[in-house]
Order: sequence, then structure tokens, then C-alpha cells
Amino acid sequence: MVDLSIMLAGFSDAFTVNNILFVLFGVLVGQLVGAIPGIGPIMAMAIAIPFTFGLNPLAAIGFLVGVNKGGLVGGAVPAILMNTPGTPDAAATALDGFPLAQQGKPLKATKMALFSSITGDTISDIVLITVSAPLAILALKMGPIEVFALMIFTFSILAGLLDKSLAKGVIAVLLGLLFATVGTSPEDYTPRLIFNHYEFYDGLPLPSVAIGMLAVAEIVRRLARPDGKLRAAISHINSNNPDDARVSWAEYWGCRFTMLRGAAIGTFLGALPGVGSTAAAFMSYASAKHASKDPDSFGKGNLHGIAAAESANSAVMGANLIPLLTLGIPGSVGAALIISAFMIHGIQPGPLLFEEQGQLIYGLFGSMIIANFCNLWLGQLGLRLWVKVVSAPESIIFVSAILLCIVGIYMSTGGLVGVYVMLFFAALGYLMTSFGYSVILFIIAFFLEPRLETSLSQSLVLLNGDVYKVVYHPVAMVLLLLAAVTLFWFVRKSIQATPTTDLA
Amino acid sequence: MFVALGLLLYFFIIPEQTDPASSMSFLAPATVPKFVASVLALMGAHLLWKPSSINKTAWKNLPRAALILAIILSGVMLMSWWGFIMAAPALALMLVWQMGERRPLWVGLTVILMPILVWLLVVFVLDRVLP
Repeated sequence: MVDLSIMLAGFSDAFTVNNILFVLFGVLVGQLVGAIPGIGPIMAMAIAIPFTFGLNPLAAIGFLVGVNKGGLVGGAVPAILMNTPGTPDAAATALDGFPLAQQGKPLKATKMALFSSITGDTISDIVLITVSAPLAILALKMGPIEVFALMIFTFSILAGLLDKSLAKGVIAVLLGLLFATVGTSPEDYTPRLIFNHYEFYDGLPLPSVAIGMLAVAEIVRRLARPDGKLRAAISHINSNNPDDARVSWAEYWGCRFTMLRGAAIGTFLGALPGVGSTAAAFMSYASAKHASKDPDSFGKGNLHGIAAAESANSAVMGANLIPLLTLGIPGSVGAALIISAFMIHGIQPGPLLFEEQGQLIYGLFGSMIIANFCNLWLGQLGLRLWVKVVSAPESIIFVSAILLCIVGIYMSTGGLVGVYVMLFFAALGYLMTSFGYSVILFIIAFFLEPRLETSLSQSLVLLNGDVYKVVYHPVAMVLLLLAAVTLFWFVRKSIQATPTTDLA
Repeated sequence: MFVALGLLLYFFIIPEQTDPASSMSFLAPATVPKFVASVLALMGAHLLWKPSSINKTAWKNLPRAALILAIILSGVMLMSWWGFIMAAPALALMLVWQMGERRPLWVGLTVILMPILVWLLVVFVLDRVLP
């Protein structure tokens, strides 16, 4: 168990002026980029990671957490004002937010989104802080065989949940695994698939892969739109009634059960690797509508609709860190990027993190709480400003983002080779997204492969090459059985689904 | 396509690009890549047998996406010859022009101001070098 003094030291690290300023700056950047449709917190995090290289780990990770949390709030602004979610998570928010804005209440809608987002996020953070340390202790009792079985189980969940087509999901995972094998083999340490390029001896750089597939590929996808038009600015009306520009306590309190339900759904789904915040937001929205006495008002500007979607999508963020901090398994792209940041700073995520870097982890928890306060404060101040930001032209935003990606990767990999790798993966990411292969699955598989192969190798040594001896490891057996059941369930679901054949 | 890729990897690329296993190892360097290649071929065969839907606009946008990637690639190559401060404005100009931006203020901000800001940030604030 982590010592109380380490917890307190971690929290006191978080509450230093330097760290608070980095978190505040992260939230500011996150809200700003979240408000711009097409950029979003994931791309902003991906671009920002190499720039945090020179910072101390807590400031760097606090900044990135700030970007992620700020982005969730900022993403609601274009969803409400333009019916164009800044992030996919905010799509459900647009269902009631946009009609409310059209009724002359854009500020009421954005403020409700802000308050419910922070409520859901805080509840999820509290769950993370309380359950992650005990779970990490449990995870530490697992040997290589159990870890390998857990990896198999994780992959079985990921493949089914993230793709409509199971085959495409598996192919995305396989491609991630394949590219991760470039470098050296974990058992013999001999070069593998490097094609005589010894700069790849340590494997393909994770920042190049992640930024190429998530940021550059997305920018290229947006720039390659067939219309080729620059986005238009927003136009909306503001009511003259001051009550339409604020959320009263009665209105907030009236949504408490909706927000609690949303936070519970978001936290539960967020703790499962691979279930995105978009799914949580829509599930919460549907359950709020189902529980409502007036379900017909949903979709016409009901505050409960905004509260349900925002509390759930924000709750996913904290819960996503549960598998990351306890098992080293990223639950989402945001979590995978936080892993990249950990690795850039020489920290290996996983169950040993609490033992080896307990102070840093509790510092991270403190930073998350600070980020929530910053989000509330900056959100109150900045919402009017973000409304203006929504209308910034894409030309300056995307070109600047491309330059930052190139410079960031150049700095983190120490040369242009990393930039060429980034461009290769941007092309691959573009193709995968265009043809329906999940980039998220690819990146998570790419990250997990070294651990999967190492644990397989260690398991084979422990079992002396006799795989049947796995029956003497009950936890591993249960996990493998669960993996088999999950895979069977998804395969059956995939077979039952009617495919639409269209290869034009 | 995945069938061909899987078979090519399994029979030619992986054996060529991996060393044989040592006598002590349980997991040869080629085992995982070969397993991946074989399942890739199987999944490719599955997609041939039961194809899933493909967004038609994906093919339509492909040449434009290739052009944008080629512009970025040429910009990066220019950086290796001319350095960031000379090549970044050229790259930015090619991209904004391709996007259809013609307003002088936004073109100027993007092509001149942004590369200078990035350069100042990296060289003076972060104290790092650029190509």
C-alpha cells in the first residue's frame, strides 16, 4: 500500500504554483482547441507531448491532463452553437444544446454543459483516486502468465467493442502488432524487420506513430474534403432576458440525478478499455430520456439532455486512467497519449507505478482536481471568448498544427527520420480511417505488443514450453475463458449482423 | 489485399528480416510476426468472403489526400536542405493555397507569423534546435 506520506507529498507537489500554472495553461489550451471543430483535445495532446519533453514529469502530465479535460468542456461549445461537435464526445450534447441555442439561450446551454461536465468529471476522479491503488496492489500479485492472459482478454474486448466489422477490428489490431514487432525481439535481442535501418533498432518511435495517425492523418482527412471550402463562421441570436444567459441553482439541482446517472455510466464504461466517451454520452442521454417524465422534450432544448451527455462523456476521462495506472493498459486514445508522455519521461506505466512513482501518481491526482477547478473558473470566464474562437479560419489552424507536429516530432525523436515515420503513419492512418479500420485499436495494440510478447516469452519459460500447464494458474484460466466467451459473443454478433456489400 | 500482404510477410519478408531462434529460446524472433501475418491473411480471406461496406467518398478523396501528404513531405525535405526558417513558410504557403485561402491577412499570418512564432518558441523559449 502506498504510504500516507507519499500521498501527501504527491498532493503537495501538485499544489505548487508552478504546477497549478501548467495545469491552468493546459486547461486554457484544451478549452481553446476543443472549441475549434476539427482540432479537439486529442490532436492538441498529440501535438503538445513532444513540447513537454523539457518539463518535469508532473508539470508535463498535469499540462496534458489539463488539455484533455479542458477539451471536453471546449468541445461542447461548437456542438451547441453550430451543431458541429468539436469532439465526437460532444455529439450527444448537440442534440439538445443546439435547439436551446436556436431559442436564443446559447450561454445557458454552454454553462449547463460546463457545470455538468465538471460534476461528472469530479465524481469520476474521486472513483479513480479511491480504487486505483487497491487495484494496482491486486495487479501486482499477477505473474507473467496472468498478465499474458489479461492481455488476451483486453484484446478480445477491444476488437469487438470498437468496430462494426470484427474482421476489420482484428486487422487493425494485427497491423498495430506487426509494426510494434519492428526493432528487436524481446527474448534474443536480435534485430527484427528493421530493413537495415539501425535507427529503428529500438522500435518505431511511439510519438511519431501516435501523432502521425491521430493528428496529421486527421488534418489531412479534413483538408482532403471534396468541397475544399473554408468553414463558415457561426451566426446565432442572443435573447435579451438575463435568465437565458445563466443556469440557476434550481436548474442545476433539478438535473442532479441525471448528472449522477451520467457520471455512473461514464465511470463504468470509462474503466473498460476501449469504450469511448461518445458511447457513454449517448447511453447516458438515452437513459435520461427513458427516465424522464417528459421524453418528448428531449431533442428540443431540454437541459437534462445536455447534463446527461456532458456528465457522462467527462466522467470517462478519469475512469480511463484506472486500467492505465493499475495495469498499464490504455483505455482510450487520450490515455494512450498520456502513456506516451509517461514513456518520454522514462516512466513505465503499470502496476509498479504506485510503488515506484507513488508521489508522481498522487501528484497527478492532485493535478486532476486542480484541472477541474481551473475548468470551472476558465469556463465561466472564457465561454464568451470561445464562442468567437469557433469562427477562426481553418487555414491558419491546420497549417499551424502541421508545423507544430513536424517540430514536435523533430524534437522528441532527435531528427527528421522521426518526421518521415510520422508521415508514413499519417498516410496509413488516413487510409485506415477512410476504409473503416480503427486507428484507436491500432495504436493500443502497437503500445501493448512489447508487453504481450514479453509476458508470453516469460510465461513459456515458466511453463517450460508446456502450454497445458496453464491449468495450474486459475486466474489466468478464468481470464482466458472470459476472453474466449467475449470473442465468441462478438463473432456471433458479427455473423448475425447483415453486411452491406459495396466495393465500388 | 490483406491475403497477399499476409502471405508475402509470412513467406518472404519475415524470414528475410529476422534471425533464427537461439537454442535456448522458447519464442523465436519470427514467431509473433509470423502468427500476425498468418491471421492477417485469414482475416483478409474472411473479408473477401464477406466484404464489409466501404465509404465511396474514401476513393474520391484519395488523390487530394495524397497531394496534401506530398506537399507536407516535400516541405520536410526542404527543411533538411534549407532549414526550418526558410522551408516552413514555403510549406505553409503551399498548404494554405491548396486549401483555397486567398485573404491576404490570413495568408500573411499563416505563412509569415506562424513559422516565426514556432521558431521563437522552440529556439528561444524551449532552448532547442531546429533543422
